[in-house]
Amino acid sequence: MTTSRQAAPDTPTQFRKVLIANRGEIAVRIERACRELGLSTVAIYSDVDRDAMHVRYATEAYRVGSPPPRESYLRLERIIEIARRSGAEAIHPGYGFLAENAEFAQACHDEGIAFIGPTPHAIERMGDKVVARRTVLAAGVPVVPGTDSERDLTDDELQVAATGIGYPVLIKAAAGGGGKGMRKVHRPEDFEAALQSARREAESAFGDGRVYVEKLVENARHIEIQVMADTQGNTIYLGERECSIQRRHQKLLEESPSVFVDDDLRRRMGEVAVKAAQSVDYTNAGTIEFLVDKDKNFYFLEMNTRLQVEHPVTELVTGVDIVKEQIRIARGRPLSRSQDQIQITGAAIECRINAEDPYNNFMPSIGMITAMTAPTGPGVRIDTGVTTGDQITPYYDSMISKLICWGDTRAEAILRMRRALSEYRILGLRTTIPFHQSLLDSPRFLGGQFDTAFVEGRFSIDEASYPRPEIAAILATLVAHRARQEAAQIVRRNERDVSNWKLASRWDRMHRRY
Amino acid sequence: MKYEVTVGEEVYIIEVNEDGQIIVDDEIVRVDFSSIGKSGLYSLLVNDDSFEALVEQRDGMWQVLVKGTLYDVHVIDERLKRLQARSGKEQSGSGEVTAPMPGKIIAVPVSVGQEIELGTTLVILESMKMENELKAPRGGRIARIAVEPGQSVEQRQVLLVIE
Repeated sequence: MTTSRQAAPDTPTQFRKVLIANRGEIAVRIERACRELGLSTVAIYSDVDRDAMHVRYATEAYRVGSPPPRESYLRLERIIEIARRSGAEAIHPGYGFLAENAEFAQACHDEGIAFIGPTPHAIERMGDKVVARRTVLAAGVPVVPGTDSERDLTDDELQVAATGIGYPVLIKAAAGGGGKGMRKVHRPEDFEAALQSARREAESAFGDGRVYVEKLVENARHIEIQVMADTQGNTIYLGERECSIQRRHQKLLEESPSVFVDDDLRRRMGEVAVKAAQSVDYTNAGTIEFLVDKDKNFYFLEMNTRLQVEHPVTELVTGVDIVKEQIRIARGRPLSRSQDQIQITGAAIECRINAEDPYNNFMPSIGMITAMTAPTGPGVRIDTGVTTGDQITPYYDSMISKLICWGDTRAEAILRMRRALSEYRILGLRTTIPFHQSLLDSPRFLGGQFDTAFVEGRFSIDEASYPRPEIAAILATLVAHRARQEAAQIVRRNERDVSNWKLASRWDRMHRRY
Repeated sequence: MKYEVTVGEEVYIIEVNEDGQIIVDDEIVRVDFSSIGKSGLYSLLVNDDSFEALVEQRDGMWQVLVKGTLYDVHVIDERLKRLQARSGKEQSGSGEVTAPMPGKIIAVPVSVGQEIELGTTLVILESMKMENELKAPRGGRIARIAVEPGQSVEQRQVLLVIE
């Protein structure tokens, strides 16, 4: 906690207007923080996002381009130009898009715009996963054995390295994140095909097909530590997030704290995370991802130099508003809390509600949200960027919302999440709600006995169960019948009003048959 | 008016009389049904049990979301049923496999004439930056393949045909 890195001298610290270089729920989340702080917001939008919630919520909004990200939310120069034109003195990049692009952070500094995030130097060092491994290793942080070459290795060299490391191995994109360009390989004969597929996906996702190879730590958990650092040289950790519930390296559910982490492990991981952040003179919010094996050994995986999707679970158990803290740091002020003021209170769980069909291999489901009512009540938080009438398009991710529940204990948080999931009503699209309901009923999840292979290996979503088909049948018939009557009435000019369905029955007897 | 109503494997004959009486499989049922606003939200009381549901027509079906479960319901009135029977047009599925979303074809790991089972991977489609495996909705034989790797496809475009 000794080194400090000053922002460029001409970077404003007293900004009043913030441009959010993002869309969807995270843009709305950041706009909310700005509104609480009395800051004006500038939204950017692609053509398909003209009517989006983040545009409607903002103080000002500017078109940035066509729907594909490369022609809109990834247009660095155009975004800087909008900031200049609108008079925004700061830019928050959110996550994804330009959030971990060092060139973008540098361009902001060059223009005298405050970048609400780390320095270009830190983004660059941690963004290249190979450089990051070498950097933290030198600072005494444990890493998973893997290829640590200065240059890009050829296919043959990678194959030889994989044999040296010992199977199973993991192929990962050097520019990677979010599981893109990542492949598990269990047998040498599968290496070549997996390598080509990983390179292809990395090239398509990041425009960079470079990959490296790492030992696959089996039965590992994915647990990450939230860190925050100010420009005065203070770095603290805000506990951990358990992110082992994944499918194809996409996180589906996160919780804090982890059932697997005790106070001693939390402190050790936290201190190592702080050390990793300090190895690149880190400032602002960041996350150190670790693999933790069954013996509680932990290894640095990578550092995400941005706000994380799952930051709300940490907010709920620590009481720290991470986005407002980010803005505070960007304004050059010290962290609002010291390490010993960080206490974990209760338990929080986040379910990612995606427009995907869990009964059909998580196939993305695009189209209009024709009806949506979100759960409310004690301990329930929803972060979303869409509402009824909005479209889930194929251009961006399929997230509808993040449903986050807090409880006094993990058990209460789980019961509350079950209740909230049953209240959530979304029509027009398939969603991952049934997956979460099924997961929250599984004994292994309840017992905390899972690792990153759990969802794909040992968990299968319950067969879709239809407990009351007769109720659905009656409802559909009544609505269909009424629609038919109304259509007929238009023709017959309103003979009678058919809206009274009060009738006598022997329903009990009938119902007993099911 | 009599309706034949299918929910998954269950088939019900539901009769809605002139005076609004409901008869499900020959049993009279006491119901109180009202619509809440114009949002597709309904309240149904069945023998005093309360159900709140969203009901919506979609792709020729009724989607009913009740107590957290989404049901696909087919409602056919008897006249239509008779009409279909006469024309011999019982739907058996055209066997066309279409793109669920726009994207790029990465691979087609099957070939024309190949016998496939339910769940066989037919096409790998890149969309929303992920490679998605499209699985066979039923078993059969590949009759025709309409796309090739590298090709971009629109939503609902026919990719291949199973016979």
